[in-house]
Amino acid sequence: MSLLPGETPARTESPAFLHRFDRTERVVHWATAALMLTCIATALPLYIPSLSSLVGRRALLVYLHVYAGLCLPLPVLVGVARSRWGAHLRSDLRQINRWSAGDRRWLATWGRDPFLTPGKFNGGQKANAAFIGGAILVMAMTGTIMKWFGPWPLSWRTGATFVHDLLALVIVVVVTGHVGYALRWPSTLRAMTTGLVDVRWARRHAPGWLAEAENAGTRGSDSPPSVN
Amino acid sequence: MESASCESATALTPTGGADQTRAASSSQVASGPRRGRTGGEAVEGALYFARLLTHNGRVALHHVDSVGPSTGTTPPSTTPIGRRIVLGMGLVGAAGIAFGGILQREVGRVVSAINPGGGGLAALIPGANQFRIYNAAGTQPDLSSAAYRLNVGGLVDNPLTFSFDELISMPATHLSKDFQCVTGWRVPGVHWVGVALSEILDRAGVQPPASAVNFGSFDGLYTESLTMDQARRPDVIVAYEMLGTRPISQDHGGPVRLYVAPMYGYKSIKWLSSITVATRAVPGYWEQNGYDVNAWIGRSNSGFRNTGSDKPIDGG
Repeated sequence: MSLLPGETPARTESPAFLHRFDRTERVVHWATAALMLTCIATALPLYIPSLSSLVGRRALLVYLHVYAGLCLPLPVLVGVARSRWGAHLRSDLRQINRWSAGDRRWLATWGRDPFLTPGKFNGGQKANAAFIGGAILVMAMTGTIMKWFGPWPLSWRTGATFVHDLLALVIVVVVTGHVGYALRWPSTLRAMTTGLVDVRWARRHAPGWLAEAENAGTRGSDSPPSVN
Repeated sequence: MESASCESATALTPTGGADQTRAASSSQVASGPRRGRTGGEAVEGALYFARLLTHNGRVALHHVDSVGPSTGTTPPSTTPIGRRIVLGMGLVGAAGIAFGGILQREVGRVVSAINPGGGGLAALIPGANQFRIYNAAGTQPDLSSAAYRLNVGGLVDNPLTFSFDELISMPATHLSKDFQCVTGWRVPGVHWVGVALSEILDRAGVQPPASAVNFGSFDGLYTESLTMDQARRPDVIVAYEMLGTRPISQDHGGPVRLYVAPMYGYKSIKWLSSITVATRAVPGYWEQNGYDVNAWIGRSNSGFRNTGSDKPIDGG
């Protein structure tokens, strides 16, 4: 199914697919997603008074929330550390880390600039990944102070609670947006479930990556789409 | 205060030069597949991330990318913005921990100015000084003020039962004080109305050997206790009005709850149903979960072990 070196990418309606995410990346994504959704689902009755009254069982909710949250960094950490299986994930993380002028332009225009040729990940996807990474870090820091409050001065506990609540609000907005875009572009959802994305999507949303894939046989690329 | 940001920064910064770190991490990651232990892998992953975050993103693990025709170079015109966002958020988060309390006070002032009623969606804004509703039991107990009874017993001359109407006909104590949770959240300037606990104890007549007061809740789980000296403070009340609501709403522990102004919120037992005078204070629901028995705000619940940081409770 994946594009072989030298194979002509689909120019007609025939379905042709590029390999976008390998199994490690998909497992890491869905494990992170499950933990994040657990955190959000348990956070709502912990935070919203009327839901607290309705749901009760605060001790159980706190337990689920705290340990799901502390486990949030694990899938990606285990993923990058698995030497062979994590190669694709590490390669993609490097691309997500490094932003070009085009990525900044993508963010400034929200992808509406027709002359942009994003690579495998556009500016919005890179920003989303970086935000979630930073958010997991900050939520773990502040959540730890809230749960194991003993060593910290009271003012820090108050500050941590404030930051935790504020960032939680932003996370809910960003995650909702992320899911919304996945539903709006089902090809991306399929890429994260099957690993493959159709060439038509790539031509429209990741032309730089598609060109890289087309030249993969001759030039090689940082993220070989034909792996697996 | 500054040590917050310093700590989080050093946690992400490996010591040593770039080349040393590269060499060290290379050998660690290369030994990865033979290990197969999730914990070890998580540590290795953290090391990899530390490197990704602290070097220019060019320190790639090329030797393990042998599965693909990696060229080992990154496009020249890119910047490692991703790691800067992650690190920047970490630093802003640390600053927020140190100074967020002040910020929260300001946000609360603005929100209450815009939304003086305190209800609606504005109440969900972080820093809007809202209470969090805790309940020990699975469901919230529900009792009307007409059906409410407060039983006072134990080492007293006259065991008494108070109805809601009897409580509100007694001399009232008004307090405008903060509600401070031990985990950090705080609701400033809450207005409370109730009967001084000492008044109730005097009416029942405390017998000489008694040195403690134990409290029970009609939720069946929540218990609390105070020493006799603590219980007799004028800022410890059996509250029947809170936030302008009489009786106190079910969420907040109504119709009647305790309010112990100088202590963390968990001492202010909700859904108060029994007061038992005794020789010994029994550690309550939250104390059994590791919180201090003597819960003075700012003078307790600190240190790595939260129990026993104050005088023994029997001593008063």
